[in-house]
Amino acid sequence: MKSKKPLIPYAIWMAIFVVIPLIMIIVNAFTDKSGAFTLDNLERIFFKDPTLRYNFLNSLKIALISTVLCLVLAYPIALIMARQKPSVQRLLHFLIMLPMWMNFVLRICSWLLVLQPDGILDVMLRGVGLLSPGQSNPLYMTETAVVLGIVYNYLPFMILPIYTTVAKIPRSLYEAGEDLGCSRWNVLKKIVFPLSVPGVISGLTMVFVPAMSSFVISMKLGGFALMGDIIDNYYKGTGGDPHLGAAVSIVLMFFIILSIALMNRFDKDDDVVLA
Amino acid sequence: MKNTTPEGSVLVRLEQLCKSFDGEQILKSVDLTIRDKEFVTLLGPSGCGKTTILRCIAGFENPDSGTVFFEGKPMNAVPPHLRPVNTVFQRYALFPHLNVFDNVAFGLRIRKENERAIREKVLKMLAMVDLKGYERRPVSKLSGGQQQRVAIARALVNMPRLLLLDEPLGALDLKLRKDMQLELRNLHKQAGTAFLYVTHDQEEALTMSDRIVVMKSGTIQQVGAPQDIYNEPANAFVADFIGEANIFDATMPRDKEVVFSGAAFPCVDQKPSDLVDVVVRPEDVEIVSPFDGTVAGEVEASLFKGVHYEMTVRVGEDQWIIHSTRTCSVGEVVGLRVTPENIHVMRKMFPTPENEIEVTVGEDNQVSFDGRSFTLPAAPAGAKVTLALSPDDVELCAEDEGVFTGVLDSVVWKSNHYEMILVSQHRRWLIRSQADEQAGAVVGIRFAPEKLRVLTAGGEG
Repeated sequence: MKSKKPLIPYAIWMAIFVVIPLIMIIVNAFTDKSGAFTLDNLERIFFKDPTLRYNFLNSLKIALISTVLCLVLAYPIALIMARQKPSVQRLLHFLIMLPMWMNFVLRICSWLLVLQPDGILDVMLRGVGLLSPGQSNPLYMTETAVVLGIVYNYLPFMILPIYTTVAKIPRSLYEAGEDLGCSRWNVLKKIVFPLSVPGVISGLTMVFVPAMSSFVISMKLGGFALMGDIIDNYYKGTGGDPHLGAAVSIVLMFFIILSIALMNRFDKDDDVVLA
Repeated sequence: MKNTTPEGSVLVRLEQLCKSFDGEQILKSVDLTIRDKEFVTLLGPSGCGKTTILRCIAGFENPDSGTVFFEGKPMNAVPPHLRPVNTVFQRYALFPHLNVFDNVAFGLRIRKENERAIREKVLKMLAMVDLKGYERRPVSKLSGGQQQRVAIARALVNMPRLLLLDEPLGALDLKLRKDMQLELRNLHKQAGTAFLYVTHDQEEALTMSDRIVVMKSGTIQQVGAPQDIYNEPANAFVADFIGEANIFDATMPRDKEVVFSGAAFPCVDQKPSDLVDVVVRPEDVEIVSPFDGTVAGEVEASLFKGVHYEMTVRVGEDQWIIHSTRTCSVGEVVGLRVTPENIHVMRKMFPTPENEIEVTVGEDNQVSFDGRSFTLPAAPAGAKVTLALSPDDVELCAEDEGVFTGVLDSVVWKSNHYEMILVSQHRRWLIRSQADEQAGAVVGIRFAPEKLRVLTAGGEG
């Protein structure tokens, strides 16, 4: 057995920044303003507050759509990336990461500049005659715009883990597949995709989890609140209710853990070792 | 040369196959025929193009020019998945997400055979490669030798007309390699499939093949049965590459007599030219009393090798390597004798005895070739002349110190010196040297300009 001593600083760190806050949230979720134990917060979420329930399901829907869209877009990109020369691969990697160097809110606000009436998109569409002067694009302040924002924001988190697993598949496995009678499509279906499942799973997790609890994006681009914004609202301002906010967080966390556990079931054969 | 061509119709024919990568010619017009049910081995040092030939047949590479025929039909435009060959890859390339059974069944499932037939074939194949009971194992949990067998089973189960094997035993240890050599030979007999086997291990090639194709720098040096290749190598490179050999520079005053190591030996070959190379295998040298030997020399070293002693005997300048079951003490003077049938005469690899360079003499005895200028002692201005440069006068040096640089194409030990052929940008150079360089090394060469001799003067330019 290895010595456990080096773990002590890490354990302290975890206790201060993970365990204690988590306990505080759990305690908050099951207490009311006076500090007495109550189940009222949970009851409100599940039974008493239809708006809250609607928002929860809406968040789930938008997160799912965005995640699937990310996967559909990211997979071909990752495949194409992995086929390039190493220098080109590094460049593409860099370009994909580049937007991440900018502030998150700034990135969302720049989409606002694109989508808003008389914004960049309108000017462009009018220029090519797809919109008549005075007309505006139908995306601004819609769910579609929110999905667009989420996909834009989290796409790199889907591309990179898939790219990492696909790039590790040796060229000889493609050739072995072709040698045994696979067309290009069959190589993709029977060899590349199964071997990239771990990357797909971690991509799905890395996009779905933050998409589910995303905030700012929906308020800015859609004008409505998703779970992230709702929790945010409960915790701040005069009308806030940190106890309800904590309960919403706990429920959200429960669903996220559940979905991760579900996804990982598909990844049971993770003793697959690539040479 | 006798040709032991096995029965069987022509399966694969390569016609003038050429292939370059990044401007470097890997295959230089290769012609080769593989017959049905034959075991052919492509043998050569790394980088000689043997794997490229395999990949051209499999369809992973497209030749720049030339054609791959399969039973008379050109295959160049046929994608790999439609070719009637299967490959055992160098590093096996097993599918890590599938178990042993599914790996072997892969090709059959792609061809949509029915699952029951597949099961029968796979189990039979696994029994054949001695992997009964391993069906459910993940391939990552197998040893190197077992992975190797899965790779062979996965290819062979599809009943290809030709099985391509790319150094399949390269990653195994010696003992396992020997066992697998025998097993592969047996599998070849059982399967009734032609095997094209790539290796750089000459012993492996000799043990397993019906025919061996010896390659060097993208060209075929010799094709023949193992015995022919060993006993009658086409040139010094083949003699040196296959087995141990004493190779000498020799002269032939007349047919059936060859002079080397300071003595005239009777032999059985006709005279191809005045200057020849001679190969004598170490086990073919007889040790006799100093008075009975064709040559005599002093024993310099004797090493016990298990089956035989390996002795070094110095005859004048030359070192003779001798394999014998009895040993002599170091310092003893012995006579050496070789029966005429065991002396094999070969053509020289370099077309001329010296480096010959054709130039036109300019002003002030200046000549220039290959982008360099030299001043000769005396030469008629404007004359076309052939310059000669002795291989002894070419000196090897570091790449950046050379007048010319190039790649050593072959390095052969000629009993008292290395004979090297260097390929520079414009020509091939013959070099005699004591320097121990490896073939494939990039080196520089230099020479004193006064060593350039005017050999023949042509007509006025």
